[in-house]
Amino acid sequence: MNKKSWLIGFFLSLVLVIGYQLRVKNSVNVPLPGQSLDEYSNAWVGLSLIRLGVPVGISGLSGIATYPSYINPDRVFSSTVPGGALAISYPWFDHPPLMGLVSGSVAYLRGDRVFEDVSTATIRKPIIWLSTLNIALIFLLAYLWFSPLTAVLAALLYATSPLAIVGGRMVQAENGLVPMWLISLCLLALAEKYNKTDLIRLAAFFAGLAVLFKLSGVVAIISGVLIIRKRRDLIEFLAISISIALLFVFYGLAIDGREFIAVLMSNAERTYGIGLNAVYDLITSTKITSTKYLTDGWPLVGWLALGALALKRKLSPLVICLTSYLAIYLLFGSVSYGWYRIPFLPFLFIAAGYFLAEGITGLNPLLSVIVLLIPLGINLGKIFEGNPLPWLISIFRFGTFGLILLALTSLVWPEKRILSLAVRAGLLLLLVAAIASNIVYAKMIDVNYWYKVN
Amino acid sequence: MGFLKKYFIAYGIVVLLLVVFLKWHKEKSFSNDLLTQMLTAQSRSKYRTDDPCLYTLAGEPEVAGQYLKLTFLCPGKEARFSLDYRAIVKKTVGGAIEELFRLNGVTLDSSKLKCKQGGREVSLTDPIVNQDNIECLVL
Repeated sequence: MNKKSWLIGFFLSLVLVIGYQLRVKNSVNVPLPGQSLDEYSNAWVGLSLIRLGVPVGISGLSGIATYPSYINPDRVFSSTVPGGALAISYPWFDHPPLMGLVSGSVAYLRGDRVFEDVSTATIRKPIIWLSTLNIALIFLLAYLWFSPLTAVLAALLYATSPLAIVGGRMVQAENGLVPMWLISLCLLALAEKYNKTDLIRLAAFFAGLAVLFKLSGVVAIISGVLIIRKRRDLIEFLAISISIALLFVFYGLAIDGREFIAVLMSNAERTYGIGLNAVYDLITSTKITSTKYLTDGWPLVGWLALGALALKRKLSPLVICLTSYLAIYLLFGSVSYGWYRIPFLPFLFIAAGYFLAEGITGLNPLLSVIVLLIPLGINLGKIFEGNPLPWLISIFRFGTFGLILLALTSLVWPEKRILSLAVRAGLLLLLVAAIASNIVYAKMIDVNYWYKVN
Repeated sequence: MGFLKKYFIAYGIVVLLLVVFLKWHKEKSFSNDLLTQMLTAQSRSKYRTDDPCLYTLAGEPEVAGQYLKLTFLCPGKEARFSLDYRAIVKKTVGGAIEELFRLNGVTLDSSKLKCKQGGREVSLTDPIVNQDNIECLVL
């Protein structure tokens, strides 16, 4: 291994450690236990599949028999769950079972046997591992699609973004879907690079697995189909991925065919929250549960970067993935729940990483400077909420004023190399400050802070 | 033999094994007793108390008319609860108290309670109907 590889390896390990630590800290209480009962329901599905051979969970579907029951893990009925009993249904087929099996297996291995044993302290652990794995996968994908610098930035941003950190703790199927999709995309990129058909077959397997976490994982198949160029590879990819996804049907039919079909029909007729302002809401807000918004500027940077990328390059896999999921997001009417947005994040962070890397190495750092002020300003605003420091505000005002003017001047006189170097140094400084503010803000989000988030 | 042909033969075997395993596992493992135990047994890590006023239940059931109100008068304090009537399995005063105690990890012996419904004294075996309002004094 050469010096560059060692350096990259060391950096990635460091980012993984930081990302993991930030995800683990306060993970038991933020988001509050019970704020999404799906977290428990997913684990109960896995636990009941292991112990009973039948999935049991909370159902939100109409026309399906449910049994009102009180189950009080983490004493949620004394805190976040107001009043009513839970609509327990069995066999539970609302979603495919893989997220249930992941969280339920960990709960079972740690000794949980009944539903009330399940606690966020146990079931969020595997999700944090998956979310940390995502950091490495984002690094690899950005490396294969763009450049080492984009990979470094994208991984660093995803590892430290407060939204990605808190969202990456929740036992939601999207947190299983994402790593499967990313693995599939990494394999497709490697297959193209080394011209290996076997890797495409393996990519198809993981794309199929994404569907076994949630039906919206079909995006992994759609994006794969749009990325693959050769007809023969395309046929194999489709055949393998669809056949893996169809295991959900065989699973349902084997356990209770009649109930499975009834749930599928009810799911097809399900209407919830497809607001006509869904795209505006998606771009301008950062929702995390069904009610909580955690303000984070990085996704907006990602959306702006996507626009720049779509204008500049020929259709890139990144644009394919983001827009394919946008189509699925709108089809599934996902605006009501923050966790439906989780699959956007890896791609928004890769886009942001690409945009900032272009600012550092490319011709025009001005836009990168302006865009960086979004997350930096938000983070500083949150960190110093209620306690504004006059010296900091002065630095921010005059520093950004000077940097923007400097960047403009460097564009007016491009032949003055010293100006361009000064702007890039300023941009790097801003980037370091933004990442440091990410870490400080993320560490601030404990249970007391969480109560104030709205 | 092409790759896909070999793949689908292997796939067919895997599906067959999966279906057989799932059916066998359900047949062998499922019982209503175990299901009830999993749904109702209390957590091994749950803190137990003999004070029925220590823990509250947040909010009200969101089911029109399908509720039961329980009030406990403990020494120096009182606690009010609204339960979803449909979730109470044994439709008696004792059944409702048992359900609430299970939910909150209360170990108090129900015989140490003196309960009233609409000013009239009731026993633990008396039936309940939805919208009942029961008040129990902890002796």
